[in-house]
Amino acid sequence: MADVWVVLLIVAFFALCVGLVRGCDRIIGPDDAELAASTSGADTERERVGVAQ
Amino acid sequence: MTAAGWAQLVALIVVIGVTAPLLGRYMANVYEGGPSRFDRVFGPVERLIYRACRIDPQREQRWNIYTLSVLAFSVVGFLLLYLMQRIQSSLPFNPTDMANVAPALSLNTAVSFVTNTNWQSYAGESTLSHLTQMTGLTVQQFVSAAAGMAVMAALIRGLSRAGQRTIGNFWVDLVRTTIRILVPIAFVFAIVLVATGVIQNTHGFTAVHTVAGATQKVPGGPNASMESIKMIGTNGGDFFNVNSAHPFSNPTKFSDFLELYAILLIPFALAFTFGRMVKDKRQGYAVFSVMFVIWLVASLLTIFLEVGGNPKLDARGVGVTQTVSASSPGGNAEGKEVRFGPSASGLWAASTTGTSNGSVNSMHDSYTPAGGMVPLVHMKLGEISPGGVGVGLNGLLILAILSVFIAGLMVGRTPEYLGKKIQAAEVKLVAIYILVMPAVVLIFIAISTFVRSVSDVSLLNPGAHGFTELIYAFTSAGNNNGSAFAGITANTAWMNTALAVTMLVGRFFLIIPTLALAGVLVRKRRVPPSAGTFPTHTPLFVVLVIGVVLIVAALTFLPVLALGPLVEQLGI
Repeated sequence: MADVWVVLLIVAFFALCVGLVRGCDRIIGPDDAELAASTSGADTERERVGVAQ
Repeated sequence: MTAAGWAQLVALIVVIGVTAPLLGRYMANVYEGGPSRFDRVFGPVERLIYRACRIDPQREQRWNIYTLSVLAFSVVGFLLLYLMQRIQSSLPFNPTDMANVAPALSLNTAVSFVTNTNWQSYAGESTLSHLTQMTGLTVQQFVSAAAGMAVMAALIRGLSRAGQRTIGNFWVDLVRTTIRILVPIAFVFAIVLVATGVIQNTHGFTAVHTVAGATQKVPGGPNASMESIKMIGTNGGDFFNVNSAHPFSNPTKFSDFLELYAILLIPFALAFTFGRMVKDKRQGYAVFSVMFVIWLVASLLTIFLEVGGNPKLDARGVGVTQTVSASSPGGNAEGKEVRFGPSASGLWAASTTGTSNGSVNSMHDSYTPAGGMVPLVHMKLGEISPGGVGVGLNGLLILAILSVFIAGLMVGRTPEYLGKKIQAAEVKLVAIYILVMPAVVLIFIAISTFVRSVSDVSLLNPGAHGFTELIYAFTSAGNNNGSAFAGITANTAWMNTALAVTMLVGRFFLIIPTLALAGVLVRKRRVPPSAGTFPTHTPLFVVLVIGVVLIVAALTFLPVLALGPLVEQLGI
């Protein structure tokens, strides 16, 4: 039983670590290339919507 | 301080000064992947590992993938080491018939070696089988050190590259560090240690009859191979309980010198690696200067405080001599090996706590309160002088970034480090890095003061000295140092678990923001230096970084030190 608790503790800790990785990713934010890609994607979407209107 | 003490210190500085730049240049080449005369030897081994593990060495990783690789590697390492301890009695190569290790102790030991801490709540010769020590602990001593150095290489790439998205490949860095740096040096050093008298055999206990007629069981085992990487990889976990105070681990004054050199070699050399990788050697010299100045001051302080001894012993005339004589090295001799004396013991204490090594050749618990406080404070500085392999340089670079941020605030300009603008994201990550270690250390010290088993079982001394033992234990775990103050029974359910969590947080919650910092810096374009750029290779910058290191540590830890070693020293 104690072994199960140990494994659970380790799994929980490394899950927290993954959470911290995601938190740090949010602090950093998207890079220029990603930003450009998402902006151009949004522009295309707007243009398509504009055409439809 | 005796002439022998001065000679050892000066010789150590000279040998480090000559060899560290050479090793630093070699390591820079390893991390930059340039051609080497050793490719014919190491190349086939690496390619075999890459093929077996399906690693594409040409494929680089972004920071988050690099980080997840570090985490995944560590989880697997932990599980294997934990399992090995839990079933060691059923495994071969157990000549001393060691039983399976209890779950809480297995947890603590597995975490300790995976995090490169090497805190030892157990006595090696009476707890672990030869197989566990050789293939469990010693393997982790190689790969946990290599993982720390890989993270350092990633951070340096973050600083040296511009406008990119990747910081290297963790698996490649891990393999190259192990195969090209740690294994060759450790192999040669192990042979040298055997020549000085460090044991290396497969024996269990040998029964010997003493002069007094008693029977004593003398332990044997594959010690030199572990001793070697224990020092080279700034691990610190020894085959024997009393670590490098044991005559089978550190038999002579000469072996003491060699082991001390091995502790300091790679950490100091990495400063030169950094200078070469960022294509500005002066930056490396500045980092080396910060490391060296703090290490030298800590060493001299510890040595002089221990050579000075306890003034109360002379004043009370209790018949204890603390003066140097033909049969005594003088000073505070309690807890020290006569063959080393207070000078070599103090130098080791300062070096082992500045490097995250954590091995000991004397018992720090027996130091004078002020003499014991110096190694404690040395750890609390973040182990950057010169620091553990890889992680020490990381800490120092992060403090350098904090320093340029503070300098930028003072003059009202956007701070830069190595041509990279330091902005909100970088400062947030630096803040996480700086706050995590003190937070986990202080919280667990505070909680432990309320835990019944700590006061009833763990602490062997009352009052301020007992509190210092507690501060030391959690500081050592939180900084992944692993040295023990002694005088504390750590093999309890609470201490094993609390120290394990502290070690995990102290390792991975610092690695994650470090790699995130590498990830954000690697994207940035380099800003050309202007008249307002604060130069980071000058003596002024060295002084600024040292000041920031001291102020951060003092603001964080002075209150808790006041309740422990400071009040004890004032009470002498």
